Amino acid sequence: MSSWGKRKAVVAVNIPGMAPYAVTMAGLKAPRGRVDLAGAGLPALVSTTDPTDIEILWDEVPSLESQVAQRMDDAMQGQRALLSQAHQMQEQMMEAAKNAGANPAGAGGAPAGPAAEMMVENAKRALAYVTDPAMREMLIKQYHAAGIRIDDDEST
Amino acid sequence: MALGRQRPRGNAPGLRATALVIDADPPVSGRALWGSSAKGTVTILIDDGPDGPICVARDFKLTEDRWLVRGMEIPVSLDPSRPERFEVEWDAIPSIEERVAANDPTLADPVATRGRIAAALESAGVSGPAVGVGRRGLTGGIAVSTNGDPQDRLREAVREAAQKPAPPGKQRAVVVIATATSSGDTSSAEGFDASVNGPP
Repeated sequence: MSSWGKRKAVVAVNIPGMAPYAVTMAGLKAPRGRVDLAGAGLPALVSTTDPTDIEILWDEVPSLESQVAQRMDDAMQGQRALLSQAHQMQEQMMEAAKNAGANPAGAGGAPAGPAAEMMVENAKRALAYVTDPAMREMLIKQYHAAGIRIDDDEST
Repeated sequence: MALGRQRPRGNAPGLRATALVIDADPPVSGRALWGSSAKGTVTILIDDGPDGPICVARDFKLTEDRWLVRGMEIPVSLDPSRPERFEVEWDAIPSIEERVAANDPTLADPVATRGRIAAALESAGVSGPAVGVGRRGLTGGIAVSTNGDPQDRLREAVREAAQKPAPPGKQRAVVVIATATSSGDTSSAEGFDASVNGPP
């Protein structure tokens, strides 16, 4: 396996159950393609008697390809979680609007007073999670139907 | 965090301030200390600038004796009308060996340091300048990643390490490369520097 030249490095050592500490490694040599893309650190062995005696287990570091795939998967999961959170907040607001006496069909008046302000604030927060224009438009229509007055330009 | 400013000593123009290092290229090791290859970019945040928080970057000759890392608080002097020409007060900065010996949190816990920098930028209302690509290739950037919390990932990795067997006389650990010298060769440094500086 090819590698980059030796470098002087400072590594943060995280041993389970202990506070992390810094160690200088005078001749760190990283094999090509073995990077900590995920930010999860690099597996290592540390001497039980000399905390500065560190061996990085490069063979256990996932390949660049698998780390990229993992990052993409994490990103997609993050987006799904945000969307689900927005939906949840929307449902809670619809429920709150009903309880506050608003007309969900939009035929009557909007809720007034602190309850209305609270619902508008909640709607803004929920919309902040939604970047897709179509989804935003749909949510805003539903808010309007629930008597919550919010425009797209004031939701960001 | 209090990154204050004060009047300069003597008749020097401008301000002396404490700045947070947002990003810093690694120093060039051993050889290649001449010319532009020894230069690297240092980006700082002064949250009490003359007109509010400022985030500025400047190139310096960076060596093992002038080794800055993200999250350090460093003394700087600057002319308020040209803050991008700030000067680092190098004599006041402890050597890397001294900082390692002191278990400086920027070195012992670089992952938490990244979070602290993101929080400082957010608090200062600075959304993040284009500091992601330094002179020596990818330096990780300062954008706040929404793809999971790096501290969570590190904690998970440490938890996993605790479950794995280790040979006699050894114990499992997870190391994060806090900083490492650069060869000065931009063509070969990117992958390693991604490792050093964490995810973009």
